[in-house]
Amino acid sequence: MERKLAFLVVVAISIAVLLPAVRGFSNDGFPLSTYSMFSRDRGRISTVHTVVGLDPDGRPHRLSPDLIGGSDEIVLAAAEVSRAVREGKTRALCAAVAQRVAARAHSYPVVQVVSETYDSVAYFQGEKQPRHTQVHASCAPETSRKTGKTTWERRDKPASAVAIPRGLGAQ
Amino acid sequence: MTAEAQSSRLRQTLSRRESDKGHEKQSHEAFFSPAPPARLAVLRLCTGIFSVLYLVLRGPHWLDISHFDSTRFLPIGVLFWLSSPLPALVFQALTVLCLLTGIAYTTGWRFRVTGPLFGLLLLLVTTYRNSWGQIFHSENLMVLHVLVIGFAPAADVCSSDRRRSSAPVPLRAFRYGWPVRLLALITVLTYLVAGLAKLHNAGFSWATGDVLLHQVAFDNMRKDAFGTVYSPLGAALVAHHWVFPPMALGSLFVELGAPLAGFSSSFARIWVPAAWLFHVGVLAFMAIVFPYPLFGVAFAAFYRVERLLEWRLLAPLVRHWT
Repeated sequence: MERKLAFLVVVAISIAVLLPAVRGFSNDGFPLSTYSMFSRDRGRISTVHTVVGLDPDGRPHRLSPDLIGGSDEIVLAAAEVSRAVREGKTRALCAAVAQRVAARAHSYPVVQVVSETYDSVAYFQGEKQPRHTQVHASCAPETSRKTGKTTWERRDKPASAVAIPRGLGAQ
Repeated sequence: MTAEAQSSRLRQTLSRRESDKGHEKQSHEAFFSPAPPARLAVLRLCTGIFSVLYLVLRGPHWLDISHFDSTRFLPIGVLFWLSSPLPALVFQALTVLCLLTGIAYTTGWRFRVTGPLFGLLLLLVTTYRNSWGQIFHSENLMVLHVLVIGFAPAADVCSSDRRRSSAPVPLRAFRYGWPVRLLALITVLTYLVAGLAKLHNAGFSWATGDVLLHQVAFDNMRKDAFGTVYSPLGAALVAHHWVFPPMALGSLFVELGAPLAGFSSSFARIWVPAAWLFHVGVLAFMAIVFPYPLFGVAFAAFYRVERLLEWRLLAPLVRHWT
């Protein structure tokens, strides 16, 4: 009896672990996963959705995952920006990032949600400038000295191509 | 108890190397053959120590999600039914409770309750933490293993419970064997699924190395674009395309060949180091850490881990728990 029960448990758990594969790798889950990370060909040309801070001279600076996504996990920040771009919610994301930027006293007058397209292989051979940059939303974090409250001026633009100059600094 | 009696009891409780030699060939071939209780107990200790440390080190970062906007919440797995995020305080309390039961699981304190409870709480908090638009594939195997061990008789020896019990423990028993082999089976099946996903999504062209090259390049580039640390080795290697076909073939060997390791101890001796090196490669080329396999805990069920208890360093602990 004990042996039969053990056999049933082993079979059931094995089927459960294999189920995401049997179901065609359609939906990833947890802890039963399709483990499909790294499985698709992204090609050389890839787009990175991110948020940058522009300094007073208009030069873009990288923002940390914590400023972008509210967590130190880069994949969570990347997923959040991708979702916002996909669902057309970049204004709200821009405002949320601007709030965090202002709260931490970073001196960026403008924050932008952008999609940057690169040749990922050429990137590490010196081609660090994006081939194409699409600005989805711009907003300006402003901190009122009197009230201590942060306000945001949204400067939403239609999607446009803007070349981001070289020399992006990490913040 | 005299030192001699203690020593004798130790010898009885822990499986001895000599007695194992005769049984081991059979036990790997027969999934349901008996095993010593110490093997399962050591696996409890390994997974427990790892999970508790993981919770201590990563838990504070998980609490960030308490402040996320509710629109980011995409419940998965056992939490699919949740329509909105849990109140921050509830998640924080569950995480702390999970940590406390994790300590009880590790020490084998009231294990019949704390074992399953820790497994379920770990499933709950990790599922919740993965329900925010990104699944962290580094936690799946840890959770599955803890669930299996939590429901198994993994605290019959080397545990707080053992100190309170005078019931005899068999040298080897059926109930200590199959859960260990189930852990190894789960490990190899997860690698198999990862390999099948590559064939499903990219076909055999994955073996040419181009997909891997693009993944390594993209992942490092994205890290750079987010102002975080990327792998300088991976970044340097993308200029050398010839490196990637052998690495791709090696990855497919580890993943698609994994089931053989579940049934052949000889193959497992090759497969486990290969799988470990695979994760070392992921760390070296993509700066992605899979701590559960990297620290060897994912592969512990392939070995006679009860031998660890023979280490002099662990002798005081063993005496305390025996």
